[in-house]
Formats: sequence, C-alpha cells, structure tokens
Amino acid sequence: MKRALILEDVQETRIWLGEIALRAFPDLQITEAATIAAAHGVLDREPPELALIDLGLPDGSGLEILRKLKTKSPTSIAVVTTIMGDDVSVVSALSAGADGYLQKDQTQDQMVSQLRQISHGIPALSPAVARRIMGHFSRTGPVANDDGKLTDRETDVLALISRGLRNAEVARELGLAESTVAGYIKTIYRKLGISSRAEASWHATRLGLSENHRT
Amino acid sequence: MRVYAPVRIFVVVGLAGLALAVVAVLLVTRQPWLGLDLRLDDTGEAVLIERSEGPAVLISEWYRLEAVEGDLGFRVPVRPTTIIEEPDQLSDFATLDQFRAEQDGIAAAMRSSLVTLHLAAPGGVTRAVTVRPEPTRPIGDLPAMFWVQIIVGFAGMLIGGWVWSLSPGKRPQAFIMLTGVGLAISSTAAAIYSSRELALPALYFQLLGPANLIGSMTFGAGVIGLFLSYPARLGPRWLATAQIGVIALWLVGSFTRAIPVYTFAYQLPIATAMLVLVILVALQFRRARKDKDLPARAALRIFGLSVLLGAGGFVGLVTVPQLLGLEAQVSQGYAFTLFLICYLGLALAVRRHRIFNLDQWAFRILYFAVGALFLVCLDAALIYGLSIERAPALGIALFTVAFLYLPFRDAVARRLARRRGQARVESFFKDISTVALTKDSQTQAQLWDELLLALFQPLYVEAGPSAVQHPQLDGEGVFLIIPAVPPLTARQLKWASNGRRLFSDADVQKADELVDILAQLIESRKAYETGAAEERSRIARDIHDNIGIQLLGALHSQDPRRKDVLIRETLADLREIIDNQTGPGLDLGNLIADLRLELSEILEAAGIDVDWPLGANLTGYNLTPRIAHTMRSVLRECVNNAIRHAGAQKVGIGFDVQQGLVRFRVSDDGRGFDPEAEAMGQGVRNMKVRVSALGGQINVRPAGFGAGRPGTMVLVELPLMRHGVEDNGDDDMMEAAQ
Repeated sequence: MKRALILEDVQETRIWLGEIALRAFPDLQITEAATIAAAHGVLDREPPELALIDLGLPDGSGLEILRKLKTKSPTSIAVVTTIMGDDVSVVSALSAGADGYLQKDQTQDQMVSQLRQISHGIPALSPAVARRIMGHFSRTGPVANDDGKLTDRETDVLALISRGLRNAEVARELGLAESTVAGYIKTIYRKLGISSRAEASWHATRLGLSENHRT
Repeated sequence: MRVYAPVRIFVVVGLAGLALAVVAVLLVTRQPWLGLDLRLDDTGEAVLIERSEGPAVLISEWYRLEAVEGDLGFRVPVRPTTIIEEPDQLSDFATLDQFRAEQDGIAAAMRSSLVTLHLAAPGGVTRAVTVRPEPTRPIGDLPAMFWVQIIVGFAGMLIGGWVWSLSPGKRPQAFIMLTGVGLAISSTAAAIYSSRELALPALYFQLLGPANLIGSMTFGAGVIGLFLSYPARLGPRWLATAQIGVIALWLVGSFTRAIPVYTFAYQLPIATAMLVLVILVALQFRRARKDKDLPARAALRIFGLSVLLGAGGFVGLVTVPQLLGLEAQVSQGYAFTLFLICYLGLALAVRRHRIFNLDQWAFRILYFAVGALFLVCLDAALIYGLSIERAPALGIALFTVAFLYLPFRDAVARRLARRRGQARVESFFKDISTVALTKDSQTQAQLWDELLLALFQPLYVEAGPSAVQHPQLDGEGVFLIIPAVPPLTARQLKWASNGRRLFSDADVQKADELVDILAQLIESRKAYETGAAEERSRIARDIHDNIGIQLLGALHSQDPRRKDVLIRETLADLREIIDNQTGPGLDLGNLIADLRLELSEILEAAGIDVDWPLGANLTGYNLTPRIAHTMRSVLRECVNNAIRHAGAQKVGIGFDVQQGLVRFRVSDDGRGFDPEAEAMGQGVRNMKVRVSALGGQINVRPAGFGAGRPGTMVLVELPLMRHGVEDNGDDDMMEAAQ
C-alpha cells in the first residue's frame, strides 16, 4: 500500500481523514482532491491503491470516481466515506464496487480500526444495509442465475449482521471462523457486484433503491 | 315558452327577411313592361323618355310622354307626379287620391295587349306609338335603387335577428329586432313602388304606402323603446310599451284620415319620433356622464351617435323637406342606406365595448348564420336556374351540379360546421390534471374555462349559481351549469356548439364525468399537499427537538469530549430523521441492531468486553421518534459513563418487551455509582428527566459485584405507546442536552 487518494470537499475533514489513513498505514503517500474533476486527474495519472471517496461533492457524485477506479484498477481498495450513511447511498456504493464504507462521525480510533479491517479484506456491513440486502434477495425470489442467489449460510450471516452483530460476533454465534464470515460477506458483495455502469443502474433499480421505505 | 338555439332563431329571422325580399322581387317583375326609362325635363313640368329598350325600343329619346292609352280607349295623362319616387311627398290627401286614381288607370292600360303612347317631340309635334308590352319585367331592368333598398331591409332583419337571437327575452334586444323588422318593411315597400316603370295599380299604393309608414314608425318605436330602456331605464317600465301604443294610435288616425292634414298624418309622426329619439339619446348621454363605467359611456357614444346620424340623416334629408313642402335633396332609395350607419355603429359598439353583453363570440354566430343563409340562397338559385332557364342542354346543367356545385356546397357546409371535435372527456385528462395542479388560482380558473370551452364549445362561459351541486341544465338547455369544484367557482356555459344547439343530457353526463375527475384530482393534490406539509412539520419538529437542542448543548459544553459526543449524537439523529421519511416511527428491533453495532464498536475500541446476548428478535414494535431518541441517549449515556467514569472492564446490555413496556438494562463492573461525581450526577439526572417525561421509570443501583468494584446497573422501563403524555417538553430536552 503506497499511494492513496482522499476525495473530500471539506478541508478539515480531508486533513482528519489523512491522519486516519496515515495511522492505519504509516508509509502512505497521500494525494488529496476536493472535486470530481481533480479526482479524475489523479486517476488519469496513476490510479491509487487506496481511495477514500466522499459521495456528495460540489461537482457531482463520488460514485463516478468509484466506478472509474474499479474499472481502471480492480485491485485497488475503494472505501466510501459518508456523513449521512443512509442505506440507499451505501447500497448503491457497494453495488458500484466499493470495498467498504466508513461513517465520518465516528471517532478516529474506530475509523482506523475499520479501515485496517477493510484493507485486510474483512468487509463491513451495517445492520441497515444488511436488512436491505436481505429484503432485496427475498423480494426477487429464485433468480434464474444461481450466482445471484444467496445461500442459507449467507442469509444467516446477513440476518445476524442486520441485528447489529459484528463479524466476530457473527462468527461466534454461527460457530465459524471470523475469516469465513468475511468470506461470506465478500460473496454477498460479489453477488451484488457488477462491472459496468449500465449494470450498476440496472442493479440499483432492481435493488429497489428508488424506494424510500425501509425493508 | 320553448327555447331555441340562437342560430335557429337567427336563421329563421334571416329567412323571413329573405322571403320578404323575394316577394318584393316577384311583385316588381310580375308587372307589364314597356322598356322605358323616364325622367323630368329641366323645367320639371314634363316627363321625358331618357332611354328605351324592349317593346319600346323604337321610340326615340327626348320625346315627351304625355299620355298612355289602353284597349278601352281611356287616355290617362302622364304628369310629373306620375314618376314621383315617393307619393308621400304629395302635398295633401286630394292630390294623393288623384295620383292613385291615375296610377290605377295607367296600370290598367299597361295590362292591355296593345298600349298607345302619346308622345310630343321637342318642336311640339305630337304622335302616337303603339307598343305591345311584355307581360313581365326583366329582373335586369330593375334599377340599382331597388336593390339598395332591398339589401338595407334585409340587413336590418339580419342584424336585428343577430342581437335578438342571443337573448330573446331581453327588452333592449327585442327593440333592436323591432327596428330591423320596421326597416325591412319600410324599405321593401318603398323599393316596390319607387322602382315602378310607370305605374302600379291603386291597390299597391293603398297597401304599400301605409306599409312604408308603418315600417318607418315601427323602426321609430324600436329605437325609442331601446333608448328608453338602454343603457339606463328612463321613466317607468310601461313607458317603453306605451309609446308603441301612442304611435299605433297616430297611425290609425293617419290611415282613417281622422288626422285631416296630410303632412300631419304622414311626415309629422316621423319627424316627431326623431325629435323624441334625439331627446332620449341626450338624456342617456347625461345619465351616462355620471356613470363611472367608462366602457358603457364609450359604447353609448358610438351607438347613440350612429343612430342619430343614421335616422337623423334620413329624416333631415327626406322627411323634413317633405314636411316643409320642399323638394327632397336625396333620392329616398339611397337615403335608406343611412340606416345602415345605425347598425354599423351597433356592430362596432359590440366589437369594441361588448354592448348588450355581446362579445367577440357574437360575431361567430353572425358568421355562421350568414353562411347558412348563403347556402340556402345557393340552393334556391340552382333550382331557379334549372327551372326557368330551360337550359339548352340538361347535360350541362347536370354536369355543373355534379362537378362544380355539389363539391363547392359541400366545402362551404363543411367549413361552416367545422367542429373542434366533440371530444370525449378522457382525451382531455391531461388538461384536467393541469387545471387540478395549477397553483395560481387565477390561472387555474382561466385554464378551467378554456377546458370547458374546448369540451362544450359554448358561446361563452360566465359565473354560475353557487348553490348547484351537480351539473345540470337551465333555461331548457340554454345553460349548462357546472358546479363549483373548490377552489374553482361554479360556471355556467351558454349555448352549446357555438350557438348551434341547446345543451342536452349527454352534455350533463359529460360534465358529470369531467367534474368527478377534476374533483378527484384536486382531492388527491390536497391529500398530497397535506402529506407533504405533515412531513415537513415532522422534520421541522424533529430538527427543533433533537438537532437544534443538541447542537446548542454541544455549543455550550465546556468538555471537548462531551462536545464530540453530542455532535455525534446529533449526526446520528439527523440520519434518523432523514431515513425515517415515510415510516410513522422506528422499528424497535432495528433501533437495537443499530445501537448494538455502534456501542459495541465504541466499547471494543475502549478495550471493554461486551456481553450483549442476542435475545429475542424485537422487530415489529413501532417506536415514536421521541422514544427512539430517548432510548438512544440513555444507552449512550450509560455506555459513556461505563467507559469514562467507572473504569469498567465488562459491560452487559439486555433488552426485552413485556406488557407494552420496553425494558433494558446496562450493567458494568466498574467502581460504582458515585453521587458526588458532579459530571456523572448530571448525566443521571438528565436520563431521569428524559425517561419520566415519557412516562417511564429509571432505576440506578450497584450491580452487586462486591466491595471495591460494586459496579453500576441502570434499569429503564419505557411504555411503547406514550399514554397521556403530551409532547410538550422542550424544557426537559434543553436540560437533557447539557
């Protein structure tokens, strides 16, 4: 992990996020961007290995940068940093290829530990997002494509996460290793995952992201 | 009284006018014809032949015509009075009787198979020429003056019918119709006798002379009645009717010769009527000057002046010279055109000032009815042409009919009857919803009127009676009343399909449908707006109760860590407010799940073990935002205390729901509750205030871990539904936020 991009329009928050990234990965070389346009420039020069991406920016949505990064460099770790963290924007971030998301109103300590987890391949899901994903899969029912359907185990994992359990607790509850739980979550990500913009919007619609109510 | 659509009335009046004109043409052309054009010589004492054609074509011009003699041998002298245009110009009853007798004689002579004309050459030589008169007069021989008078009469009928047909029940309009009838009778009668070649039987004069006067006085009665009642009513209501009686009496006196002086019987009534008219118009002007209603004044100026100019011009140029025994300055036939000025003024006043409450739309009906009359004339002309002309080749006639006439007639008829489609209500759905969704009330009312116009094509739309609940007919189909659909007021439509028909039950049904759809749309718009308003006020209330007060607390807090906690709580609440857009509250199970993740991460980051059994799934219990907020605050406060003050190594949390109460417990193994610790004591007090404000209970006691590390246990009970506790407490929230 050498290069990181921090896309964030509020200057104080940008600095604060930089501190968190440096605490998590001390040797990091950080490039900051305050706008989508600036971020495009960074991606065009050399895609970073880690990107902290804010969604609501003055000149557009961070999802655009997220998708571009995942297209240019699929192995890069893209983390969405939000303030509102409403499930709609988080699910659309996940389906756009985000490896995880951080809520910016947490303490630095929490942020650092979550960021480390994400970069080590231990993805996080909030209960609200897990509930929404479950709702989605139960609504769509049996899908023609078997890859798009959750297994019982995956459903169990989601159910526990939706009740507020962390990965380790889920592992304890189900008698699994924590890395296995992380694997399940990655599979769920993959089942939501997509590679193109058209697919993304199709998925977003399928996920019922236009619906306002909770599931 | 039965009610008819205006176009129907109008067309009937127009046809009556047309019939009158046709009768006149028939009467004039059915007279024997010599082919002479006569005029007075320069001395005014002899009658000269100006031009000759037809049977008399061989007679040279410049001969004087001295007498006419028929089969029976009576020689009737031709005098200057013989060719007088208007016998009313004769000075007394005796001259009139003589004139009529001589006319009768000449007319009888002309009905002989051979007529002898006694002529005198300029040198004094006399000769007699025998001529065989044609039994009928060619229509082309009729002088232009004849047609002018016929057209004036017809125009009077048309314009009178136009105004009257739109409000047959109103007096001023009826008086205008009366003027039209009068003018038609008067000018048509004059047209017949003043265009005679030489003479007409006495009977014609006995009928047409009085008819001319009756017509003139009917016109007079019409304008007098009109200006007695319009724009303001002058004098009592009966006056307008009574004046007709007076005029009728005077006419009876004239015809029975009870009024012995000829000019008094014939010219004086016209002049008197004119004088009365001048006075009335002046009175109306004076009345209108006080009126602030400027359009009415302007309309009166146009209309009043044009009537004075038209009628006054005629009286001044024709009647007054007769009355004074002078020679008329202008041919009476052409003077009739002056009356058209009256009607031009009327049309102008309608167009510019909506006089008689008529408007642009009134011209549509004029256009349509004139077109309809045109079609009738076209048909008549065709039938006449086919039967009279004895067409040399019937084939040509048929060809003309099939390839020229019928397509032309069809095109005219189609153009006239063009409708913008008797559209179904559904096809106007978009327009209906535009009306329903328009916010500006003035624009909305305007769009509604436009929609009604498009759907029913009435001549106009006006305010309707507000008491009506459902669409209904009024005036036997003259009006279609559209009830008020709040905020739109009731409307009434007058005359369907641009005045061509009355409204029917089908229209009522259509209107019913329309009003239903509109009412539903407006209703759902209101519901939507109410919902949006409720949502707005919920967000406003939540922001005030939670966000505002917590931010204030953060602002006033001296402890930076406390500041951070408060700001984080505020952000969490903000998320909650935004996410909770549609639901009435928050699900208990979901709230616990969210808190569980948040708090266990905080505790873990602080190095404290969490014992939070999964327990029963508590989804399905609905929380008000206030309860959710209280639970969140209390739990955070407890966890905060455990981390900051208690020095705990382990925290246990548990939830359950029983008998409508949600109960939760937070315990730690810390150094125990210390009432002396100021910061902590404040926190506990805050919790107590919050919980009791919702009708709940909070209990803080040692957890019982033994001496040295007694621990703390907080037990909270909150009713899931708040009973009788009003959400009035901004004060306690303020305190809680500190």
